[in-house]
Amino acid sequence: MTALDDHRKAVLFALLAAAFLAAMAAFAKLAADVGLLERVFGRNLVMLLVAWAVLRRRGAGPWGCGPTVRGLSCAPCSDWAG
Amino acid sequence: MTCYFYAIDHLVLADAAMLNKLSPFVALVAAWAFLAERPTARTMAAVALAFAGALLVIKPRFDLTVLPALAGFGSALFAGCAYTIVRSLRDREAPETIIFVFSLVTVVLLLPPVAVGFSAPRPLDLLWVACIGVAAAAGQFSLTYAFRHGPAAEVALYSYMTIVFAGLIGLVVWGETPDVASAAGAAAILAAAGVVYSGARGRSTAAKG
Repeated sequence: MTALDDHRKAVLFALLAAAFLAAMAAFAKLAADVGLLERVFGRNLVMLLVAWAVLRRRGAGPWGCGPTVRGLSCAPCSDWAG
Repeated sequence: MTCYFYAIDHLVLADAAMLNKLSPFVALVAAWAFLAERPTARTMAAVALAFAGALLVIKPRFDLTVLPALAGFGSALFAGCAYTIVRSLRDREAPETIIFVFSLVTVVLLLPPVAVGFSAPRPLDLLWVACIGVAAAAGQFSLTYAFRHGPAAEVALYSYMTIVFAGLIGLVVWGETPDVASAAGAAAILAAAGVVYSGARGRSTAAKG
Protein backbone atom coordinates (compact mmCIF):
# COMPACT_ATOMS: atom_id res chain seq x y z
CA MET A 1 0.00 0.00 0.00
CA THR A 2 1.59 3.29 -1.07
CA ALA A 3 1.36 6.52 0.93
CA LEU A 4 -0.82 8.03 -1.79
CA ASP A 5 -3.25 5.13 -1.55
CA ASP A 6 -3.46 5.62 2.20
CA HIS A 7 -4.06 9.33 1.70
CA ARG A 8 -6.84 8.66 -0.82
CA LYS A 9 -8.38 6.12 1.52
CA ALA A 10 -8.35 8.65 4.36
CA VAL A 11 -10.04 11.29 2.21
CA LEU A 12 -12.61 8.80 0.93
CA PHE A 13 -13.47 7.56 4.42
CA ALA A 14 -13.63 11.13 5.77
CA LEU A 15 -16.06 12.15 3.01
CA LEU A 16 -18.07 8.97 3.57
CA ALA A 17 -18.23 9.77 7.29
CA ALA A 18 -19.42 13.31 6.54
CA ALA A 19 -22.12 11.96 4.20
CA PHE A 20 -23.28 9.34 6.70
CA LEU A 21 -23.43 11.88 9.55
CA ALA A 22 -25.44 14.27 7.39
CA ALA A 23 -27.74 11.35 6.51
CA MET A 24 -28.10 10.61 10.23
CA ALA A 25 -29.25 14.19 10.82
CA ALA A 26 -31.72 13.88 7.93
CA PHE A 27 -33.13 10.60 9.29
CA ALA A 28 -33.45 12.24 12.72
CA LYS A 29 -35.55 14.97 11.12
CA LEU A 30 -37.65 12.40 9.27
CA ALA A 31 -38.29 10.61 12.57
CA ALA A 32 -39.60 13.81 14.19
CA ASP A 33 -42.76 12.00 15.37
CA VAL A 34 -40.62 9.79 17.61
CA GLY A 35 -39.63 11.28 20.99
CA LEU A 36 -36.15 12.77 21.42
CA LEU A 37 -35.01 10.22 23.99
CA GLU A 38 -36.44 7.34 21.95
CA ARG A 39 -34.46 8.49 18.91
CA VAL A 40 -31.24 8.80 20.90
CA PHE A 41 -31.91 5.41 22.52
CA GLY A 42 -32.52 3.78 19.12
CA ARG A 43 -29.41 5.36 17.64
CA ASN A 44 -27.19 4.18 20.46
CA LEU A 45 -28.76 0.72 20.54
CA VAL A 46 -27.94 0.19 16.85
CA MET A 47 -24.43 1.59 17.39
CA LEU A 48 -23.99 -0.77 20.34
CA LEU A 49 -24.95 -3.75 18.17
CA VAL A 50 -22.63 -2.66 15.34
CA ALA A 51 -19.70 -2.09 17.73
CA TRP A 52 -20.41 -5.49 19.30
CA ALA A 53 -20.38 -7.11 15.84
CA VAL A 54 -17.10 -5.37 14.93
CA LEU A 55 -15.46 -6.43 18.19
CA ARG A 56 -16.68 -10.01 17.70
CA ARG A 57 -15.32 -10.03 14.16
CA ARG A 58 -11.96 -8.92 15.50
CA GLY A 59 -12.08 -11.74 18.00
CA ALA A 60 -11.92 -9.36 20.91
CA GLY A 61 -14.27 -8.68 23.78
CA PRO A 62 -14.90 -5.37 25.47
CA TRP A 63 -13.97 -6.56 28.96
CA GLY A 64 -10.33 -7.45 28.49
CA CYS A 65 -11.06 -10.58 26.49
CA GLY A 66 -8.91 -9.66 23.54
CA PRO A 67 -6.20 -7.35 22.38
CA THR A 68 -8.33 -4.22 22.15
CA VAL A 69 -8.92 -3.46 25.81
CA ARG A 70 -6.18 -3.02 28.34
CA GLY A 71 -8.01 -1.00 30.96
CA LEU A 72 -10.72 -3.54 31.77
CA SER A 73 -10.66 -7.24 32.47
CA CYS A 74 -13.01 -10.13 33.18
CA ALA A 75 -12.84 -13.90 33.56
CA PRO A 76 -15.21 -15.50 31.02
CA CYS A 77 -13.58 -13.76 28.13
CA SER A 78 -13.56 -16.50 25.54
CA ASP A 79 -17.28 -16.50 24.90
CA TRP A 80 -18.45 -13.08 26.07
CA ALA A 81 -20.55 -12.45 23.00
CA GLY A 82 -22.56 -15.64 23.36
CA MET B 1 -27.27 13.99 21.06
CA THR B 2 -30.66 14.87 22.56
CA CYS B 3 -29.80 18.58 22.17
CA TYR B 4 -28.69 17.93 18.58
CA PHE B 5 -31.91 16.12 17.67
CA TYR B 6 -33.92 18.94 19.27
CA ALA B 7 -32.01 21.44 17.14
CA ILE B 8 -32.56 19.29 14.03
CA ASP B 9 -36.31 19.28 14.73
CA HIS B 10 -36.55 23.07 14.91
CA LEU B 11 -33.78 24.48 12.70
CA VAL B 12 -32.75 24.30 9.07
CA LEU B 13 -30.78 21.01 8.83
CA ALA B 14 -27.57 22.77 7.75
CA ASP B 15 -27.77 25.21 10.69
CA ALA B 16 -28.13 22.34 13.17
CA ALA B 17 -25.19 20.48 11.56
CA MET B 18 -23.14 23.70 11.59
CA LEU B 19 -23.67 24.30 15.30
CA ASN B 20 -22.93 20.66 16.11
CA LYS B 21 -19.68 20.84 14.11
CA LEU B 22 -18.39 23.41 16.61
CA SER B 23 -17.57 20.45 18.86
CA PRO B 24 -13.91 20.12 17.70
CA PHE B 25 -13.38 23.76 18.68
CA VAL B 26 -14.98 23.12 22.07
CA ALA B 27 -12.69 20.09 22.38
CA LEU B 28 -9.66 22.33 21.73
CA VAL B 29 -10.70 24.61 24.60
CA ALA B 30 -11.58 21.63 26.86
CA ALA B 31 -8.21 19.97 26.10
CA TRP B 32 -6.54 23.23 27.16
CA ALA B 33 -8.56 23.33 30.39
CA PHE B 34 -8.48 19.65 31.36
CA LEU B 35 -5.55 18.02 29.51
CA ALA B 36 -3.17 21.00 29.75
CA GLU B 37 -2.74 20.97 25.94
CA ARG B 38 -1.93 24.60 25.33
CA PRO B 39 -3.23 25.74 21.91
CA THR B 40 -1.22 28.00 19.63
CA ALA B 41 -2.26 31.61 19.03
CA ARG B 42 -3.41 30.54 15.52
CA THR B 43 -5.64 27.83 17.00
CA MET B 44 -7.17 30.27 19.49
CA ALA B 45 -7.84 32.72 16.67
CA ALA B 46 -9.56 29.89 14.76
CA VAL B 47 -11.68 29.03 17.82
CA ALA B 48 -12.70 32.70 18.14
CA LEU B 49 -13.58 32.79 14.42
CA ALA B 50 -15.65 29.59 14.72
CA PHE B 51 -17.57 30.91 17.73
CA ALA B 52 -18.16 34.22 15.91
CA GLY B 53 -19.56 32.15 13.03
CA ALA B 54 -21.78 30.31 15.52
CA LEU B 55 -23.18 33.64 16.72
CA LEU B 56 -24.23 34.41 13.14
CA VAL B 57 -26.08 31.09 12.99
CA ILE B 58 -27.60 31.40 16.48
CA LYS B 59 -28.65 35.06 16.01
CA PRO B 60 -28.97 35.72 19.75
CA ARG B 61 -32.30 37.16 20.89
CA PHE B 62 -33.80 37.53 24.32
CA ASP B 63 -36.77 35.23 23.70
CA LEU B 64 -37.54 31.53 23.43
CA THR B 65 -37.11 31.41 19.65
CA VAL B 66 -33.36 31.17 20.24
CA LEU B 67 -33.77 27.91 22.21
CA PRO B 68 -33.25 25.45 19.28
CA ALA B 69 -30.05 27.23 18.22
CA LEU B 70 -28.83 27.21 21.82
CA ALA B 71 -29.62 23.48 21.95
CA GLY B 72 -27.49 23.02 18.81
CA PHE B 73 -24.66 24.91 20.48
CA GLY B 74 -25.21 22.85 23.64
CA SER B 75 -24.84 19.66 21.57
CA ALA B 76 -21.41 20.90 20.48
CA LEU B 77 -20.45 21.68 24.09
CA PHE B 78 -21.38 18.19 25.30
CA ALA B 79 -19.84 16.45 22.26
CA GLY B 80 -16.65 18.53 22.62
CA CYS B 81 -16.30 17.46 26.26
CA ALA B 82 -16.95 13.83 25.26
CA TYR B 83 -14.23 14.07 22.57
CA THR B 84 -11.83 15.36 25.21
CA ILE B 85 -12.48 12.30 27.36
CA VAL B 86 -12.13 10.02 24.31
CA ARG B 87 -8.88 11.78 23.48
CA SER B 88 -7.52 10.95 26.92
CA LEU B 89 -8.41 7.26 26.27
CA ARG B 90 -7.12 6.97 22.70
CA ASP B 91 -3.75 5.44 23.63
CA ARG B 92 -5.36 2.84 25.90
CA GLU B 93 -8.51 1.65 24.14
CA ALA B 94 -9.49 0.76 20.57
CA PRO B 95 -12.10 3.01 18.88
CA GLU B 96 -14.53 0.08 18.62
CA THR B 97 -14.29 -0.46 22.37
CA ILE B 98 -14.90 3.22 23.09
CA ILE B 99 -17.97 3.20 20.81
CA PHE B 100 -19.20 -0.02 22.43
CA VAL B 101 -18.85 1.22 26.01
CA PHE B 102 -20.20 4.70 25.19
CA SER B 103 -23.27 3.19 23.48
CA LEU B 104 -23.78 0.66 26.28
CA VAL B 105 -23.72 3.33 28.98
CA THR B 106 -26.14 5.62 27.15
CA VAL B 107 -28.51 2.74 26.32
CA VAL B 108 -28.58 1.65 29.99
CA LEU B 109 -29.08 5.25 31.21
CA LEU B 110 -31.85 5.95 28.69
CA LEU B 111 -33.69 2.66 29.20
CA PRO B 112 -35.75 3.74 32.28
CA PRO B 113 -37.13 7.03 30.85
CA VAL B 114 -37.77 5.42 27.45
CA ALA B 115 -39.51 2.42 29.06
CA VAL B 116 -41.74 4.65 31.22
CA GLY B 117 -43.14 6.61 28.30
CA PHE B 118 -42.98 3.76 25.78
CA SER B 119 -45.55 3.56 23.02
CA ALA B 120 -45.08 1.29 20.01
CA PRO B 121 -43.73 3.35 17.10
CA ARG B 122 -45.22 3.12 13.63
CA PRO B 123 -43.26 0.83 11.30
CA LEU B 124 -42.09 3.80 9.21
CA ASP B 125 -40.82 5.60 12.34
CA LEU B 126 -39.08 2.43 13.42
CA LEU B 127 -37.38 2.30 10.03
CA TRP B 128 -36.19 5.94 10.35
CA VAL B 129 -34.83 5.28 13.85
CA ALA B 130 -32.98 2.20 12.59
CA CYS B 131 -31.59 4.32 9.74
CA ILE B 132 -30.38 6.92 12.28
CA GLY B 133 -28.44 4.18 14.07
CA VAL B 134 -27.03 2.61 10.91
CA ALA B 135 -25.97 6.00 9.49
CA ALA B 136 -24.44 7.04 12.83
CA ALA B 137 -22.51 3.77 13.13
CA ALA B 138 -21.37 3.92 9.49
CA GLY B 139 -20.28 7.54 9.98
CA GLN B 140 -18.43 6.80 13.20
CA PHE B 141 -16.59 3.80 11.82
CA SER B 142 -15.77 5.59 8.53
CA LEU B 143 -14.27 8.42 10.56
CA THR B 144 -12.27 5.92 12.61
CA TYR B 145 -10.85 4.33 9.46
CA ALA B 146 -10.14 7.76 7.97
CA PHE B 147 -8.09 8.71 11.05
CA ARG B 148 -6.31 5.37 10.79
CA HIS B 149 -5.22 6.01 7.20
CA GLY B 150 -4.51 9.74 7.07
CA PRO B 151 -3.34 12.81 8.97
CA ALA B 152 -5.81 13.78 11.71
CA ALA B 153 -5.94 17.48 10.77
CA GLU B 154 -6.82 16.74 7.14
CA VAL B 155 -9.43 14.12 8.06
CA ALA B 156 -11.00 16.57 10.51
CA LEU B 157 -11.15 19.21 7.78
CA TYR B 158 -12.94 16.87 5.35
CA SER B 159 -15.38 15.89 8.09
CA TYR B 160 -16.74 19.47 7.91
CA MET B 161 -18.31 18.42 4.61
CA THR B 162 -21.15 17.22 6.86
CA ILE B 163 -22.39 20.85 6.81
CA VAL B 164 -22.37 20.91 3.00
CA PHE B 165 -24.05 17.49 2.70
CA ALA B 166 -26.68 18.46 5.31
CA GLY B 167 -27.31 21.68 3.38
CA LEU B 168 -27.81 19.72 0.15
CA ILE B 169 -30.13 17.18 1.79
CA GLY B 170 -32.11 19.97 3.45
CA LEU B 171 -32.46 21.76 0.12
CA VAL B 172 -33.49 18.66 -1.86
CA VAL B 173 -35.76 16.99 0.71
CA TRP B 174 -37.33 19.95 2.53
CA GLY B 175 -36.52 22.88 0.23
CA GLU B 176 -34.59 24.55 3.07
CA THR B 177 -32.14 27.35 2.34
CA PRO B 178 -29.99 28.87 5.09
CA ASP B 179 -30.31 32.67 5.37
CA VAL B 180 -27.43 35.06 4.61
CA ALA B 181 -26.27 35.24 8.25
CA SER B 182 -26.19 31.44 8.51
CA ALA B 183 -24.27 31.17 5.23
CA ALA B 184 -21.75 33.71 6.55
CA GLY B 185 -21.55 31.73 9.80
CA ALA B 186 -20.88 28.54 7.84
CA ALA B 187 -18.13 30.30 5.90
CA ALA B 188 -16.54 31.48 9.17
CA ILE B 189 -16.67 27.97 10.70
CA LEU B 190 -15.23 26.35 7.55
CA ALA B 191 -12.50 29.04 7.42
CA ALA B 192 -11.68 28.37 11.07
CA ALA B 193 -11.38 24.63 10.29
CA GLY B 194 -9.05 25.58 7.43
CA VAL B 195 -6.90 27.68 9.77
CA VAL B 196 -6.58 24.79 12.25
CA TYR B 197 -5.76 22.41 9.38
CA SER B 198 -3.07 24.65 7.88
CA GLY B 199 -1.50 25.10 11.32
CA ALA B 200 -1.43 21.34 11.96
CA ARG B 201 -0.07 20.68 8.47
CA GLY B 202 2.67 23.26 9.02
CA ARG B 203 3.69 21.61 12.30
CA SER B 204 3.62 18.16 10.67
CA THR B 205 5.80 19.33 7.76
CA ALA B 206 8.24 20.99 10.17
CA ALA B 207 8.45 17.79 12.26
CA LYS B 208 9.19 15.69 9.15
CA GLY B 209 11.70 18.18 7.73
